[in-house]
Amino acid sequence: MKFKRFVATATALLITTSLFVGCGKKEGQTTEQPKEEKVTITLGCWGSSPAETQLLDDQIKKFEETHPNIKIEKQVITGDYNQALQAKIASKTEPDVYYLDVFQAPAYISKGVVEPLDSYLDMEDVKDFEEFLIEGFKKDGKIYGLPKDFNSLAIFYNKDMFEKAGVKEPTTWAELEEAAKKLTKDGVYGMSLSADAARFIPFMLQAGGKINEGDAVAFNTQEAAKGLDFYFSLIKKGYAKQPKDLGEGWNGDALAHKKVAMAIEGGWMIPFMKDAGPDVKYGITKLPKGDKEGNLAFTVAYAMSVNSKHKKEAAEVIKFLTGKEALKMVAESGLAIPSRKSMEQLYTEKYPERTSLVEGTKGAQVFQFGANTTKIMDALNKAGEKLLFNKVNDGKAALDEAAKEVGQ
Amino acid sequence: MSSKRGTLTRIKTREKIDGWLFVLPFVISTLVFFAGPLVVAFILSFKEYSFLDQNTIWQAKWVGFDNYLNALKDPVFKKALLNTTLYSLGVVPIQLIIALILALIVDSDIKGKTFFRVAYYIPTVTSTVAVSVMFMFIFKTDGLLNKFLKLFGIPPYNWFGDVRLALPSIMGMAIWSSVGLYMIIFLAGLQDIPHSLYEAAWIDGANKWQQFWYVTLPLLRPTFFFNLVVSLIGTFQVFDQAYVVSGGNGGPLNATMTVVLYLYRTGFRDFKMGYACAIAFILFAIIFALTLVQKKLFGEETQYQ
Repeated sequence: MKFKRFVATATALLITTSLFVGCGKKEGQTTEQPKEEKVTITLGCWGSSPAETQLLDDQIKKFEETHPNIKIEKQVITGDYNQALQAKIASKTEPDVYYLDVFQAPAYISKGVVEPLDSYLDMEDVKDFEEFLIEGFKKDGKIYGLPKDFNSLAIFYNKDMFEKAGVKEPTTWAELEEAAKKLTKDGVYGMSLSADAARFIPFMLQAGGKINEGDAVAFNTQEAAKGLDFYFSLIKKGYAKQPKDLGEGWNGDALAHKKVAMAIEGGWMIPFMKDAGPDVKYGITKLPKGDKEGNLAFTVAYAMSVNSKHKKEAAEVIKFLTGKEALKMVAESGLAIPSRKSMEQLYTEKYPERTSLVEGTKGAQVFQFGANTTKIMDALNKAGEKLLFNKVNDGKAALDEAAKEVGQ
Repeated sequence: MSSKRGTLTRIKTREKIDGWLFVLPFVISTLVFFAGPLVVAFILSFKEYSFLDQNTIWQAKWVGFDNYLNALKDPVFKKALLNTTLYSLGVVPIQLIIALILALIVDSDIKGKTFFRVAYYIPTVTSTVAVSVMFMFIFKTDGLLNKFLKLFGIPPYNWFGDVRLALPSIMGMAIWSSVGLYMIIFLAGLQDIPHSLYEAAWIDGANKWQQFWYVTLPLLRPTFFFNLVVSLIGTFQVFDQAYVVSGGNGGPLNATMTVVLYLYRTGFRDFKMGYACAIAFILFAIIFALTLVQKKLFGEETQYQ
């Protein structure tokens, strides 16, 4: 009888405790070996393509060879990175160093969860980075992250279709419209354009518009509206189609499946086209010029947690992963454009056909619009949809409504 | 006498202890993973807080009823509430009627009813994300549905991309994927009705229709109430279908923005966890009130035996 009770109690306890296995912190493991010099730095990143994973692993290996006292432990966060990272930060279990998308940077920086890096950096060396990229991770003159690489937008076009229609690479808005018009035939459309602010903002910039002035909205101007109107006029005139209307998931699919002759996308198209449209002969050309050049740059930085217990070592990790050696590996992989000016040449030498991707970044703005970035993006996306569904008369009206929405 | 009493109390106490020991795992997991978060969320709904704040939940600033008042003024929240209500009004009745019809079919003596029972139930055990992806394939502009409609000369639509069609498309998807669950419950309810009642009705000269109307339906009332409540709660909490179909932004033009999708976005994307909690509790209040109303209308226990 007693034994039975013991068994019952033990079972109940076992089941109860087993519920919590795995909830505990795993940090303790490193402290168990007392007084060892070796420091472990955790590195938070999202899961990406095998090629990118390989690149990061190679970089980490190189680092550990040259820094025997520091070990990097990679933490791949799958699923919603932003959500998972927030939960980790709330419970103070975030990695020492983590990927920070420029789009999310203002929110993270203003909440004070990111450590300023200035005291660890050699300011002469920082000048090697593209300024407009660093700008995205700055607040009040302090640098909160070093960009690892970036991509910006360009026109990817089907060479065969261009040849058949006798069209040259467009360099201005007028030429773009003309080309799209000529290429629209035989069930193929000139362009694939999505009602996505991350694609039409460059046109607003090209028209001389601005998106934000610091943390304030600055897109409700005639210039910005001109760019928006031009973009959607291509769809309304029938020279361009939304990928969804073509039954495709995104612009890349539309180009790969030969449903359109042109698509505005970034460097990520290159590995994608290899898989999805190996038979499509495509070229890359800069975005057209409106009244001026304008483009968006998408970048990710390495940032350090303010709660890191090994800040000096974490800074070493960041500096190495954005250093010349690591960025040379980025350049050679061709996965993205290296964020250092000194390495861009290496990239264009190895991949001459991508020169226009790099050239197109002159006059680019980083994909971030101050403290209200997410609100601005939501409002602009909606403005685009309103234009598309004819809920407003013109771009200016759509932008005025969008500005009001952000102000709320 | 007294010693016997003592033994009895001892046994009773031990039974109590043993009982608690057996339910302990569940009680603790409920406290930690359900009741605890619930209380914290309720507190948070009166605070201004985000996961990125350096201060803890307890130190966060109290804002009184501001989060709730802001929600009532927020046009996107109102739109989300409207969408969710429309979704619910559309899905619940259609879903339950189809489920009842299906249950009646698989309860009858038709051939291969085991096959149909399985076939109707399969969508329920399929992950909603998988279902959404499949439906996106069907509803694509050059997808199956448009190709089928083309046979009748109907022009293709961009189902999920059209402001008017996006929500109804999701509704169709939800009905298809969850109807099996309610069918099974109706089936259980149907088989619970004693055969003798039908026999009695038959002897009294009731035809099939009268049997259904006067025997089946009244006796199915508790089952019906249960299904109605579960279905309504489920539809008011719709999230994954809208998330997958709109790519997480509730578009086009907030046409597929649902309350839960909106609270997810405010919490994790706009970093307003306090506001998101307030939205969650408004939703809770709505669902709670609706359930009480339903209980009043359908819920009285009726015994026929």
